[in-house]
Amino acid sequence: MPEYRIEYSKKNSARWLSHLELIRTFIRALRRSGLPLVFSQGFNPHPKLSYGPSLGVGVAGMREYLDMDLVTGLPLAECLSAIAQQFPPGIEIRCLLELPPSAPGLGKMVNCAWYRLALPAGQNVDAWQQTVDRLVGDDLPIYYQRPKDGKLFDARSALAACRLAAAEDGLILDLLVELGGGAVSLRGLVETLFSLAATAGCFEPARVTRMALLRHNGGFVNPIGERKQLWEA
Amino acid sequence: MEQFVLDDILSHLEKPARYLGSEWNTVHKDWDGASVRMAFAFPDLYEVGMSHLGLQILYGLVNTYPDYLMERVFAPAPDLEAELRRRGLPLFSLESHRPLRDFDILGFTLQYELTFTNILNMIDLAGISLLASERSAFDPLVIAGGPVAANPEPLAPFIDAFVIGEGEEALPEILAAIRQIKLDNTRWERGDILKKLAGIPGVYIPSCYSVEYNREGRVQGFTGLCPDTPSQVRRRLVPDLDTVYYPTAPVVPLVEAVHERGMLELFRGCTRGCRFCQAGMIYRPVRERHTGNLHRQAGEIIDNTGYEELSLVSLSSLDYSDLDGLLQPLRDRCARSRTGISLPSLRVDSFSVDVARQLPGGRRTSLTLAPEAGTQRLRDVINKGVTEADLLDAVAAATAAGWSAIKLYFMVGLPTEEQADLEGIGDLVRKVRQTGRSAARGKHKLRISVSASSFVPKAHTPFQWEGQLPRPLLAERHAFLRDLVRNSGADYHWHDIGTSFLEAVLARGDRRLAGVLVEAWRRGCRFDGWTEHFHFDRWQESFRAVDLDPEFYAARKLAYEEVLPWNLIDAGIDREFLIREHRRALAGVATPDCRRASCEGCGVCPALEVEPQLVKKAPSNLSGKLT
Repeated sequence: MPEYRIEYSKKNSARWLSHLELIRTFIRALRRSGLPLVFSQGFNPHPKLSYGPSLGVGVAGMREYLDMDLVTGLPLAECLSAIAQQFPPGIEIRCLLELPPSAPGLGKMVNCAWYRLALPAGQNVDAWQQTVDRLVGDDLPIYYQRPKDGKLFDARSALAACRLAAAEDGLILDLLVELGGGAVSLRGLVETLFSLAATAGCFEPARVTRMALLRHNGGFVNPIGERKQLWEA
Repeated sequence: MEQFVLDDILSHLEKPARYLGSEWNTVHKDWDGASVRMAFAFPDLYEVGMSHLGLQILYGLVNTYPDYLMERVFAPAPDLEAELRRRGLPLFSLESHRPLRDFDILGFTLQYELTFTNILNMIDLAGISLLASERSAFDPLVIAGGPVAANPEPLAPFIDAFVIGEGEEALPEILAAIRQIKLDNTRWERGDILKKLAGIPGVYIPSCYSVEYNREGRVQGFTGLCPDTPSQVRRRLVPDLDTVYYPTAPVVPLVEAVHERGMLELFRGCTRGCRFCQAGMIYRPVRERHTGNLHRQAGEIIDNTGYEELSLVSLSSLDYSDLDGLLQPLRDRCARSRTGISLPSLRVDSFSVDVARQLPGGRRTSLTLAPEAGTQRLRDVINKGVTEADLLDAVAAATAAGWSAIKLYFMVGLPTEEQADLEGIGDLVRKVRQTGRSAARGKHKLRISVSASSFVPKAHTPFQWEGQLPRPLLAERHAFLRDLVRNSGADYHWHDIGTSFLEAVLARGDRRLAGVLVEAWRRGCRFDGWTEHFHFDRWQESFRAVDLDPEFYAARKLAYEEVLPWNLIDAGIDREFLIREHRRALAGVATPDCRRASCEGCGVCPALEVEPQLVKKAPSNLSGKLT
């Protein structure tokens, strides 16, 4: 059965949906679209869909992914027009492609995520630059204590790259985060960086955007097969 | 304030998606293009309100008018209320995130007495005076309707106008009146606006009446304060459900609601005549939708929502007179879209179980049956036409069909209840277990749980004159029953007794209870129907603060001659019929359903000039038993 990958964005008001709410939104949108979805067996059949790594409530995603199975293959344009108009505001379908047989699933394929953090106004630029330099410059551990059990982790183990940049309306911090470790959450990482920069601020999900999901393997490739440079949108 | 809500408030909330207002099928109308703007207020959480059919009906209906606009608002969860109060911000609507004060009308739906403090809280958070008498012509009109408006008196000082009965016709008439007032250039006083609304059938303006009480504190009478006030306000109803608007593109919730499914309304009204049941009285007569219409609506709902399940809703869906004609095409339609079909509750008989068994998508986990009472004697008293044989047949059929859990609903404290009736519940549970065991033939074990509520006397029912048992006695009976049921091998759950007590107080209350509501709200009472938010001590303090005895309202047996606090409301049911039914109850005499026997003279059809509407005459499946 043919498998398709949808690339979409979740932004504006839709950023406030939880992962579960997003899943239900997708299921109903795809059911409304009339596409020949593949359903599981049993009393309560579910459409066969698989999702990328979840986004926290309030965090936007510019290029997110979803895989779906269809009973029969359809021209991509037809598929796309069937689903494009079925979503509440803030969820936009960007593109669709048919996966080659035996293509790895999203969970297997993606191993890092690029998050962009819009720093609150009035931040100390030098303190942040020093923090970033330290993160990039040495490899001394940066301790993060997990709140739920008090265990210590090296926050740097979750961070593959980082940079500070100036945007139109303030500073932005780009973080390339390794997925799959799970020990240090995005919130934990960001809060550790704030305390390292010794600057007032906390984790505000609405200031965070996931710019890309990538596979890091020498170079970078995204789930729809595009090769990318680091920090290339 | 839209941008502010989205940018600054949502990040502080546990479930921000409750307040986005961007659900599928929402209507975002041009604010300036609308001549009348109304906010539909549901005084409970989003998750509860979004499961409610009435909201979807009126929201869809009003928004079909080009120059009317309706938006939604739900009771803010405690985290949003805290944010709003901390920042001094008003409660806002979901679609345009505008302050409720900007609307012409704020309309509450009354589904449950224990949402009353939420209504006060929402009016206050909107920045509107709690008391209708303190509002000016510039304030929104605060109206309310729904089943609990059958006795609106405890809310009388807070609400400008109540809509009695079904709202599909009365509400647009109210909107038209407001539209005309707004087009009219003369300045209207609030009193004049209300007088104009009082001329609309089914609209009850509480400020047009004063209530007199006698020395014992009972209502003695009412005095009309305006020239043309009717002596009673008669309930409105939709005579023909096939020609009335129905929402086939309902708003699909973003946050998981209590019920996540499309709703197909088969009919309104139920004439089985259970004597405790208010819905069975105030929605009479039975009015069925035609099968063709239902099939069309089902298809549209499925296409427009993408719901995984379609629920066949009504007060007793398997009483629909052409069930075969309805179900076969519906099953085929739902099979194509992989849509399950569900029934909100099952009649207690094997026929119902067989029907449920043949519906697609039913996960065979738990089946709910409501015998309500433990002995035939008491079931005859309450006119619940169910026998022990019906129940055991249903259990056998369900177990054989693979259901592994049975939930049984009973009521404790019903009029004339004796110890034998409670023991009867224990006996029934044992027999259910035995029946289940032999029907399962060792293949699986049947789990049985008993859920017991406390009897609450309701207005416009034959039991409106009965009292609720005092709380200590109810507690004793629940404890006795709990041991009995657990010894019979079933779980026992019961509704909080304080909650049922308060429900009884408010359900038969008069206007003086408004003072108690204000006190309780000031003491922080909100979401009283939620066990985790219910503070009985605060309510007791509130009753003391205004020097009212709650027992007077909950426990007292009323005399037939008494003036009832809800006498201004005419539900269309003949008082003599209710007295007759009450007497028959005490004598243990059952009254048949007028659908399969002759008319029992409840008075609704002549009073409201309607007739029962059955799509198929001489229905075959109503006997409750099949050979």
